[in-house]
Amino acid sequence: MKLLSLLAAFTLALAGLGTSATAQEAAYPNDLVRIVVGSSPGGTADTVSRLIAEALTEKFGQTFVVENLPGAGGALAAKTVKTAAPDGYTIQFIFSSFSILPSLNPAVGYDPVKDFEPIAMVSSAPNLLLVHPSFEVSTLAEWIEKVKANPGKFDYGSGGIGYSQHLSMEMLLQSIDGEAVHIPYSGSGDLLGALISGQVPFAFDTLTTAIPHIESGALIPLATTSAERSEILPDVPAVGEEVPGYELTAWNGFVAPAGTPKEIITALNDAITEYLQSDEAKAFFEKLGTKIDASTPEEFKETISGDYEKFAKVIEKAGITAQ
Amino acid sequence: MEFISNLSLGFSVAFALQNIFFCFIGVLGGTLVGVLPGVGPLATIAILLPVTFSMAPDSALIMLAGIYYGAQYGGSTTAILLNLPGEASSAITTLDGYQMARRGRAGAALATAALASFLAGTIATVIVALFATPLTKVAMAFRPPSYFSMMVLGLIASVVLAHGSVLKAIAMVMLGLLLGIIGTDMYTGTTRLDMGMLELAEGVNFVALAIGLFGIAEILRNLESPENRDVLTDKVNGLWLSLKDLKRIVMPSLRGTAIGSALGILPGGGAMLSSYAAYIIEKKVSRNRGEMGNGAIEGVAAPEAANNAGSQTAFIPMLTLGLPSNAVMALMIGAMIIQGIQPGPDIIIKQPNMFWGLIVSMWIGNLMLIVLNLPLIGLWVRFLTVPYPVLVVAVMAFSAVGIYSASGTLFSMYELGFFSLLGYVFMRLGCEPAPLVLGFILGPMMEEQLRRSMLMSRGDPTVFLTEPISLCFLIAAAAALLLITAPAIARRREEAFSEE
Repeated sequence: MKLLSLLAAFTLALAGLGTSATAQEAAYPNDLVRIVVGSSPGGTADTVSRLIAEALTEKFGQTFVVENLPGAGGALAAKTVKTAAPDGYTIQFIFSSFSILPSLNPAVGYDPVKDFEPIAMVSSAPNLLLVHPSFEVSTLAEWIEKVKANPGKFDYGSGGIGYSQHLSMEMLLQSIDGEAVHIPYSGSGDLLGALISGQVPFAFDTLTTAIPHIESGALIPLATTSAERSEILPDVPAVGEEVPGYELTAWNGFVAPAGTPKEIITALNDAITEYLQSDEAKAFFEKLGTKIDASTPEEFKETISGDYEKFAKVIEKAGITAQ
Repeated sequence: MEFISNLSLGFSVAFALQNIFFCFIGVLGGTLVGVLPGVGPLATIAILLPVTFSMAPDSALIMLAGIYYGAQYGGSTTAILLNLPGEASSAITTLDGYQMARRGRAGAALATAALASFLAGTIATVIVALFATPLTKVAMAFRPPSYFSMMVLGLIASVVLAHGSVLKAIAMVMLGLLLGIIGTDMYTGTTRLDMGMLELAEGVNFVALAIGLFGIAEILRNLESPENRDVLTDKVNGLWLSLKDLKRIVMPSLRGTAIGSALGILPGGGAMLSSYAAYIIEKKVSRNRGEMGNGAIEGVAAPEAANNAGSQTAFIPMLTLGLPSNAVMALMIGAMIIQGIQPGPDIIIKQPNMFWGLIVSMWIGNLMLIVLNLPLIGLWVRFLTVPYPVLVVAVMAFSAVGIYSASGTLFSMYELGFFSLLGYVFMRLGCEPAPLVLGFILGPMMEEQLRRSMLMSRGDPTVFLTEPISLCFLIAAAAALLLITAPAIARRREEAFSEE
């Protein structure tokens, strides 16, 4: 990717978006900083990390370069960063699966809480419970009633085993004491197709991609997984309104290897949160359909460890641990 | 006359000076990355994605689309000249394309690839423009059992890929299926055959496999004896196609276009299979099928037309439903979302400029590609006259860089090394890698659909017979099996009396 990155950097400069190096002297960073991303180039995580890498480059006058290390759902990246020198020159852009994977497969070889130093959360987005019109329910209460009356009769889809779409449903089924058969698809795009064509009658999926199909009437939104209703769909209730205590969001943010000096964490947190308050960032995330959710390192740590515990329980109860 | 007014709207958008410019940048960039082995359109589009944020939505998509189909053109160049398939779709072009190059007909092979692609691109553009919406409905009718049965047909038909021993071909398909099993089981999350290596959790790297088995293995074989490689540089005559050649490529190109257009619409990775399907069918119906595998021009025209048509009709589910049929399409959806455009059923009404502009730009892009590529053929062919040691080093370096850039792990280099040696062993054993590659691609897709069907039917296998589309494919598969085995049985009886 080096060659292509150079090419891209060159093109960027041409497009007038290039990095204007501020010549200020600073203790950190005085060298190139690697941002490891555990997904392929081009996905949402990759796009967001590149955007922030650009902002950090501009801010610090040092190049922040995104390095894609896809593999094992992001575990390969986490394992690499875990063993990197804790000097602030290797950081990782993580997303929800970071705190899910170790419970799914203990062989991934990292502890999301002990092995990392959180820097800042960046954004979060809820999932949406969507049903195909042929399923003939229009509220969450009706859906719960129908699913509970027919244990194991219906299928539900997800973007893959252990994805937040999968765990959103497992968590809901466990709370209402219902049963349905999980049909994993390969990725969100695939799942959306299955939902629209009615291959599966219902599933959780991300809000952004579902909007046009809700507008066209192909899918009916029943509830959102966030604690409060979404600003984009104010008429759709939160699952928590019907099932108290239910809450789940998909998030992303930055971590560094455990032992990274506090000053560096603070400097990065300041720079990231400052950028996230800019109009440019706001406009970008609005288009993406996710909410900017900048946090302190401590708050982010709580989110990561909270999710880790919550999902470990759901995964154990559902019996979906590998091997 | 809605069609005409739509197209004229498209032309007015696509012919805007800036869009012509971005279309050109796209196809030029695409051709270049296509020619570099290992660097595919996926990585390129991903890297260039941030650049498009500041562009107008129609220009951004026109450029990205240009990279995508430009790379399909460029990818066949290395497949033909050096037996290096940069992508899944061009692996099949190596079969006859490289043979043509070895016979000094590299120019003709490249020209065939360009012309067949152009013809396919033109027809596919019209198909997308006319039938985008109704075709989406057809694609949605495909349920898991139908996909599975379609691939059963594909797997059975793949035996004809062999142009040597059928038994060896079956063995290679099986090996491909086994290699495809490596990685995480998507239904349980359990990793299979990964030998404890996290690097294998997402399966074997396809690009490393294809480049190793075809390209590097061929280099190893050429290094064995100097005579072999002389064939390549010997005489590079006939840069242009004769009238007879042109006549020979018309029908295969049309058949390839039809197959590619149909498969491209299916969201389940149909576009990837189109070049294989086209080749297999050509091998059954072509008047010159006897030459296929030994440098038949039909063996280049059909798959090249199919993969270009397929890559264009793959835009249909992407634009009208927001469903990506491959990773590149998923990226395009990302690009659109960032531009504030949500692909979906109402995109044609909400964004007519972008929709029709993009479609017309595909045709313009194809035209640019042929203008760009035909004069370049002379240049590409001259590469073959580069002293062999220099060429080998350059090719191996580019392959390694390309593969490393996409995976970012040293492990992919070991994979490349492993498959290069394996490819060499296969060559010495007279086993062909093409059936293996098909098995490797089809295997995981088949398993996914089979297990999904069984999960949905709660373990009842009769779903494959009760789904009408599935039943049709299974009947066709049974017929194909009969066709393949019947003559073989008859021949075996004859062969029993004659020497091998």
